[in-house]
Amino acid sequence: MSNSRFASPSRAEWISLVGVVSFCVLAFGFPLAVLFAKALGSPLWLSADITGVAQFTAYQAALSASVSGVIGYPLGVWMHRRPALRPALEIPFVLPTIVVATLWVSTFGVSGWLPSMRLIYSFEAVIAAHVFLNAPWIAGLVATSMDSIPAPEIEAARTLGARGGRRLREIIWPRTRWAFASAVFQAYSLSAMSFVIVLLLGGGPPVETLQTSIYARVRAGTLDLDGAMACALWLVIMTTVPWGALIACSPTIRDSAVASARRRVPNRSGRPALLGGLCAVALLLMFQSRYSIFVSIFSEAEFWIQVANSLGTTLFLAVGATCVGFAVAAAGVVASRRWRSVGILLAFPSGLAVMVLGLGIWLAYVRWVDPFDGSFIALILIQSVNLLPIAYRKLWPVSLSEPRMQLEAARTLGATPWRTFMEVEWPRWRRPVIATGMLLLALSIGEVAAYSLFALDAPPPLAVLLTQWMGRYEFEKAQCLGLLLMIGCASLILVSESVDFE
Amino acid sequence: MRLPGLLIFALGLNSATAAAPTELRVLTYDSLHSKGGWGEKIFPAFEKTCGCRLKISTAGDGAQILTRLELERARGKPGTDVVIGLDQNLWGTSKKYIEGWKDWRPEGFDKIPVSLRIGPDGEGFLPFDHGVFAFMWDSKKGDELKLKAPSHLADLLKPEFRRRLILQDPRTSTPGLSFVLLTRILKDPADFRLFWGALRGQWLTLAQGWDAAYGLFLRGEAPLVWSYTTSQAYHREHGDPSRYQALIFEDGNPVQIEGAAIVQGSAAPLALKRALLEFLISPSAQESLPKRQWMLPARADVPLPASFSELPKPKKRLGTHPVAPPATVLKEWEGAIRTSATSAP
Repeated sequence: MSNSRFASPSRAEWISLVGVVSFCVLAFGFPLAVLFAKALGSPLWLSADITGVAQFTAYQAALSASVSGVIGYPLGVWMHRRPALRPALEIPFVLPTIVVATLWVSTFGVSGWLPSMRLIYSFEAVIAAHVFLNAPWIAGLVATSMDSIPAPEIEAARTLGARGGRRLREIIWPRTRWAFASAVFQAYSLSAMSFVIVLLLGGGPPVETLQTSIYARVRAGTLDLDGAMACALWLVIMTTVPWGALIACSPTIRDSAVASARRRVPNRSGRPALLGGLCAVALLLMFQSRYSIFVSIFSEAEFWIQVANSLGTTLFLAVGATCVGFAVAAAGVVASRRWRSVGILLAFPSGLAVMVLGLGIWLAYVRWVDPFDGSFIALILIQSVNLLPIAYRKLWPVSLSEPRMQLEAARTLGATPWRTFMEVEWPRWRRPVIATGMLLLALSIGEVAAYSLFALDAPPPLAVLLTQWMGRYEFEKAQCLGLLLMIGCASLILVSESVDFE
Repeated sequence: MRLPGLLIFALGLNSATAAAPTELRVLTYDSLHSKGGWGEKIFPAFEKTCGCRLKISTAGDGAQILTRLELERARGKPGTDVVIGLDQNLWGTSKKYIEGWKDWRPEGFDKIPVSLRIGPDGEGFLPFDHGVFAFMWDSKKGDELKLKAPSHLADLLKPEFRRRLILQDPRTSTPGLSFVLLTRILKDPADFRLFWGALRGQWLTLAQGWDAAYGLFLRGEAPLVWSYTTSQAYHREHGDPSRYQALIFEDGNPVQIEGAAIVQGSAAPLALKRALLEFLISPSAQESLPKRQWMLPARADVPLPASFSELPKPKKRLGTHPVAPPATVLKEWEGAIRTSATSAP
């Protein structure tokens, strides 16, 4: 491994670069190029139908992100001084979107605890749910970026008579604005790509986004590939153009993010208890007064047999996607120390919706890969691409803290590269690697959208089993399974977080 | 679940050996082949009689089966021998992928009522089950809200039913499409637009599928949901004597007829493909259908469980033959929804 950016790239760096670029080209570069070429070849993407849906998507995403930002920023500043409460900002990670939507119906639905006609099955409901998911995420990033501000600096300003507003304007805002902008743009992209929330809480057309429109065009009997491609084109433009603008400021954003990642040592002792509490509340909401029905289902052997069968498929897919995503991200970390643009390449899929990616792979490889023949390759590919930016974001800061003196000493003492790695590198990588693996596993277990385009010739994954049970009137079984899924994902994330910060 | 097996599938190495029995590739929808579904009963039984191996692939629903046929045609690689689960609304589009029967008729075909046969007999559509679409009424919820069950389509527009019904998005759901087609059968294009413009304020939500819609209904979100009359049979079988009722409209109720067919240009022996079609309408297969498929068997001579015999009969059976191609009706529907959305206060 080279110590200087000016030395020639090592063999490991070249191999990593070729691996990462090849994967990116095959997994999303070529599929997107095919999708773009086909979509631009048809005038449909400029038709009033499609542009109308695109405008609506942009409007709802911008509104969701703006409101989330207005709430999230002050919340983050406030939370920064209350580290014990900060775990509450983890809600978006703990609860899969499908569970949030279900809880939303349980709470604000006609039969819910707080029935409100404006907060369910309407445009307002979609915005409110997006704000619920995104505002804590923005607040979390703002609070984390504030960790990079030395406490004596703020204290000195206070001592010199600077009031809250002035401290915010002159000390806090300049240090947090890029993290805030980054978070708002991510909230915008996530809202534009939102699928389950719009589908379940929007109430149907005219509350329709590009994602739901792609779904409708591909799922319906009259396959409307041209329409789906036109929607996908708009969605990619909508999510990647703002992201590209943000990347133009990437040195600032990256440096501040890395700095905050190095400095953050907040008090996380309340995390397990608070996350456990959240799960307990969700459990209560799901069970409500149907405790005895759930107990009887959990005591059925058949229920557990089916869950175990599907768990095999789920784990196979999740582990496959995690391994691929992780391996590419790790190679990316090695390559991006030499070529910074590799980092940008690996961050690109965060602006790609699963439906868009699936459609691209479908179109690009349909001659070689039958989407319906039970192949797991396409599903693993789609999921791993989606995990890539997260894995990279987790691993990149660790790579910056290279113990150069220890590595140099090991080499001087004649240690083999393998022994050097195991004795010097691995101890600092071990926890982040385990934590990232757990996080990726949890995220891929909850994935549903990828199965809309590709079929399996094996027991269905848990999420698909859940929808099958619902389709056969077995709602209680489906709810029990939803509960297990939620607990499983939450546990993995809990383990991930506790390992990460130990 | 055996992971090595999965690994073999993932690597695409599941090629059959020379000594393996003849393989018949069947495409159907998820719920038919799921645990407890009809497929679990009939597919192993057929394998025993034919000495062949069935390779079952699934798509989400009947509409996705058609999507797959279109895709296979585009790829120039037929990957399916027999499809099970197309309905009469999809038949018009799908028959170009289907092999006609010519002079052959499956054994037992004469036991299927003429009203369930779609198109000329030789076209290749074999009905294996049917159902009647209807609104399901939650009488308990209705009593709480002091509502009287609707009996005409026009009743749905009454103020007391505002946000009291749950429908499915017709672009993603077969039942949802059937409701739109019903309204198109009963109304001319102008009235159709007016009706949907007015109905837009009446539905609570347009769910993406039947399962989501019925889930909301059972939660008590609304007293009405668009479903099948056989939903009533399900509730009777599961201990509910009268709360959930299927409503028969004076205007008529649409029916769904599901069928199987042989795919054009497929490789498996024709005799085997025909044998599977005949097996689907054999008395034993048809008798096992109601409580696994929650549909009515196609054969008229099959005894029904008590819960099915008691189901209300529609006053008029509508929609056995689409009034217009579904894609055209959906375009009209989207136009009506968008117009009403932009003109709404």
